[in-house]
This record gives sequence, structure tokens and C-alpha cells, in this order.
Amino acid sequence: MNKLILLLLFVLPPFALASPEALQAAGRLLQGVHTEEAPPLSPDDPAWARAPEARLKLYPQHSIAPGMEATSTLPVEVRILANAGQLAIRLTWRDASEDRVDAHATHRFADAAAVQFPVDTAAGLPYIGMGGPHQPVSLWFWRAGGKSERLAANGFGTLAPAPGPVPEVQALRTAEGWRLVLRGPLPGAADPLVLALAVWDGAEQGRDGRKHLSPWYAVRLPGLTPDMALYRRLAEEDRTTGNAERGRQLVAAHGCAGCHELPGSGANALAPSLLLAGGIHWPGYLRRSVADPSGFIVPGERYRLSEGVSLMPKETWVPESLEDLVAYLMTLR
Amino acid sequence: MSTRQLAMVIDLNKCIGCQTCTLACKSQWTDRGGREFMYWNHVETKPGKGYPRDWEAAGGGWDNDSLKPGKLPRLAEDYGIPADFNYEAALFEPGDQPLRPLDAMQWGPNWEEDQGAGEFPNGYFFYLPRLCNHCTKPACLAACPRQAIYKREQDGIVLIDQERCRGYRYCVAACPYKKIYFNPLAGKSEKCIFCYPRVEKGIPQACAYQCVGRARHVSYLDDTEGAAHQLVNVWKVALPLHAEYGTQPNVYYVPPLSPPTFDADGRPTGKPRIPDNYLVQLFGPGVEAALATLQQEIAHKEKGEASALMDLLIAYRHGDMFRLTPQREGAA
Repeated sequence: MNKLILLLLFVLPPFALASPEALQAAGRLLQGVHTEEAPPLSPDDPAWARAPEARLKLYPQHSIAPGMEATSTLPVEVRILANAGQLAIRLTWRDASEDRVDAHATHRFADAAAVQFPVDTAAGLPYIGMGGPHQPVSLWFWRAGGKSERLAANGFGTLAPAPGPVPEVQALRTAEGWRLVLRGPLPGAADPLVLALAVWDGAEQGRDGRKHLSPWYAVRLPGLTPDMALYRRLAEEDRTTGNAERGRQLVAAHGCAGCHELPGSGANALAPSLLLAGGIHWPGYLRRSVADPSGFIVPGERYRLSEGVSLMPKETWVPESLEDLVAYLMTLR
Repeated sequence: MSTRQLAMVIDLNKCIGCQTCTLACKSQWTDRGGREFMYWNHVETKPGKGYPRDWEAAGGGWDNDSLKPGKLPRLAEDYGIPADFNYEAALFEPGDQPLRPLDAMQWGPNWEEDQGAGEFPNGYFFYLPRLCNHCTKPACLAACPRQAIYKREQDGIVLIDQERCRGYRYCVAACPYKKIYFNPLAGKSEKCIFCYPRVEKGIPQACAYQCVGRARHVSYLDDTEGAAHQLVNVWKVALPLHAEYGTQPNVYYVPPLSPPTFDADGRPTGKPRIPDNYLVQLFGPGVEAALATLQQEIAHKEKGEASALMDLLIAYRHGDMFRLTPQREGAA
């Protein structure tokens, strides 16, 4: 038996053995709590005390226009309860002004929040910004004073109503901001669940890309069968081994700021801004993007030379350099 | 850019500001459902702040190939709330209460009617009917991150796909004419549809067809027999509004002539009441030549001579003003 463990340790990389823990250590795992009864809809329900609170940092959407200035992040406190069929997520965040849908105003925007789920994680995590052409996402959307929606998207500008049950929502306006519960059928039946969050501030003209967003998170759901293959894939997506300082020098040497916005480069609309790339992306996505820019092109006409061909030239990277680049990009947050 | 472009020419010398066009449009398209404040077509008095208030200072349009930032007009302050009136009290109750709006109004679609500018005896104003220009280079279309706005290939009509619109209002800010309206009840943006369901049946737009002054001509720009081509390209008396906004609008205006100013002794000076430079601000450098052509052709008519231009503008037969199903040039 000991021999077997030793053999496994030798043959498999360490993350394969302790994937959930590795994700946890990296801050990419949220702890959901199993409930026997239906998870609560009320933001004040005492059952929420059973779920540990995770404090997530949401980043201003600055990758593409129209977006926000890359100035301030938004802390959002998250608690997750689920039973075999239903998932409830409670989000708490500060928002100084209460902005609701106003049938008597043409220039105001409402506060809003959304939870995004990948439809399929077999091919890795979808692009964080509304998925991509072959990697759709589904969403629960809430707007203050409006109806909640169930939506689907496969890239920027593709958001559309999706069939199926609309999530239930209950929002509590507090003195500081919002406490919101979204509840709906559990998307997928395995542990971990993967999700990302977005919050819009009506007072800041929030809508569309003018939002704060989180990177993808894995959510541990104890009541469900663990999908160890998915845990392993996610741990692999989170792998970084490079040297960030060497990566920074490579970025400078290759003139990446000719198209991408980078620290100190000033705005550049030719390609998505990388100013907060490490905050919203996982290393795996950045690695794939650098290695094969046409493999997935951020949706948007201006980023492609022609259909399926990215404006960014494909270079053959020494594996160490690629890792250094990824390590550097992950520091941008 | 579309294959063909349907265009409208509005002769400002014939517009009497009666708002029949406005009502024709409103009763057809915008009399309910959160559209009450919207006027896809309206007639404003110039000079003036117009509708929505100060739209000419609200930004939008193009700076070469970049969109300029623009403002979102406010319902009460810039469009004007669609007020209810005290009909019951004023019309049916004893006493002599005047008819008044129940809510205090701050603005409306023709708030400054006949106000104009200038000092007695040289005050001046004219009417400017406005609608979506169905631009060749629409800023609204470019501003929409969802590609919810499209320009029809067959006639250049610019439309918002109501299924795709999510009410982000980048288009409202981008349109320099402020002719896209956010419907706060529907949560989507809406605009003049150039009466496309009528156009598809060969019927002119409601605003044009109902115009009692016979001021509106409609035809395809490539139809050489059509009034739009004749007035815009041949006679060059029909000019775009604020061409400097860069969107290449397809509603054209015949600029207004005006009677002469009076000097201190009450004698006519020969200078027009509406200053040329004001008209140039609106309609561009072509104004002087256009007004000269109009005057020259009027002079022909006054002498009993023929003027094809005047005949076209007079529009003896209502039906001649609209050519919606013409043969294309060179087609059999």
C-alpha cells in the first residue's frame, strides 16, 4: 500500500492528488454547504449562517470597450447553499446609491448582478467574458426593481433569453448596499460547480460591459459526487511555474504594448487590455492565448484579421518563456 | 452602406409648423406603451433649443472614424413628461377653470414654438421638422455592442431589432440628432422606422403623406427621376442637416428664404431676416448657392417663364412627390 502511494506520488504531479486543496490554497475554491431542505431564498434566513462567507474581489471590466476605468475593485461577500436539486447564492456588496428600474426616467440605469455558469467544462473553462462561440455560458441575471432572467451567451453581444426556469430572487436593500439571493435549479449535478459573478452599479451608468466581474471560481458542493477529473483539469488550469520578472522583460522586449494596454502603456484599443488580466483570467487561458492566439479570439470584429485568424501573430515560444509570460500576466490585477 | 437609399426632402419654405406630420406619426406609432413622450417626428422652431432640449449640444456622431461621446436626454427635463390635463374640471365642472396640465411641465416637443430670435421688427424663425435621418454611416449602429441595429440593404432604413435590444442606450448617446428614444417601460430603445411597413406596400411615410403643405418628397437617391435625386444632386437645393456630425444623413432640407430686414427708418435693407450664417450652421456651405438658385427660379416663374425646379417644389400633384417603387437606373 505504501509502495502504491509512493508510486502515485512519483508518477502523478502533486496537484492530481490533492486537487480541491490545491484550488483552495490558490483561492479559487469556494465552500458550498449542503442542506437537506430547500436552500433559502430570504437574504436574512438563519440558514445562511451555516455557509462560510467568501470575500471575493470583482474587477472593473476593462478588457474591451465599452468598459470601466481600471481603478477600483469591488469586494463581494458570497455564501452558497445547495441541496440535491437547488442552488442558492447570496451576494452582499456595498453600493452607496439604490438605483432601481425607473419607468419614468430615460437616463438612469439600475443596479444589477449576475451569476455565470459554464455550460460544459470538458474543454476547459470558457472565456470569462460571456463565453465564446464553442463554449456557451448560462446566466442568472437580476436587475433592481426588474424581473430576474435566465440568459445564455456564447460571446460578447450574444446574450439572449434562454428557455428553462427563471431564477428566483430576493433582494434586500441595506444601509450600505445590496444583499441578494439568487436561487434556481443546480446547473449540473457534480462537485465542483463552476461559476463567476458580475455586478453593475446603476449610478455609474452600469450596463453591458460597464460592470465589475470575478474570475471563474470552483465551488465545492459536499452533497454531490466529486468529479475528480474536473478538479484535476481546474488544478491544471491554475498551474503557474514561471518567473514573473522574466515574463515582464519578455513582454517589454516583444512590444506587446503596441496593441495591448499594459501597466504604464496608456490605453490601446487594438487588442483587449491586459491591465487586469491576472485578476479575471486563470493561467490556463492566458497560456493558451499566448501560445495560440487564433485558438480562441476574444469576440469582436477588430481583434481578427479574418474569420478565425487573430490579429496577434502566433509565435513559437520556448516552454520556459511561455511560463514566464503567464506568470507575469497573472501579476496584473 | 446599403445598395439603395430611400431619402426624404423637406421644403422648409412650405412647412407651416402645423404638426400634422407629428400627429400622423404619433397616432400611428407612439401613442402608448411608454412611447408617449417620444416624437419620432416632430417640428421644432429654429433658432431654439429644440427637442430634446439642446440636442445640438448633446454630443454623438463621428470624429473621423471614432464615435464622439454623447449625453442621454432626461425624460422630464429634456423631452418633457407626457402630461395629463384637467379635462374633467375644465370642460365639465362648473366654474371657469382653465385647461392646464396636471403636472408642472419643464419641456416639451415644441416648447419654444414661434419664439425664434432677433429684435422687432427683424425677429425671425422658421420650422424644422425632424425625424431619424436613416444615415448612411449611422453612429447608433456602430455604437451598439450587441449589433441590435441594422441598416436594410434594399432601402437603407435603419432599424433596431427589438428582440436583440437590451436597453443599454449607447445608441441614444451616439445619435447626434437624438432621434433614438429609450422606452423606460419596455426597457428598450426605439426609433423612427421610416414607416417601413407602408414603404414595403408602396405607401409613403405617414409624416410625408399627411403633410398638408406638400413639403415632403420621398424617393430613392439613385432614382434619377425622383425628387430626392433632382433636388439633392441636380439642383443642389436640398441640403443635409448638420453634415459635420459625420453620419451622412438622408433627410434633406430646402433652406428657408426670408423677407428682408428693415433699417432704423423702416426701409427694407435687402438682407434676409434669417441670417445666412445661421442657415450655414445648420445646413452647411451649400446654403448660399441653394438660396440663390431658389431666388433665380422664383424670378423665372414671376416672369411667367418655365421653371422645372419650381414645378417640382410646388408639387401640383400630390402623388408626384413620392416614388417608392421606381425602376432602377438602367433597368428595363
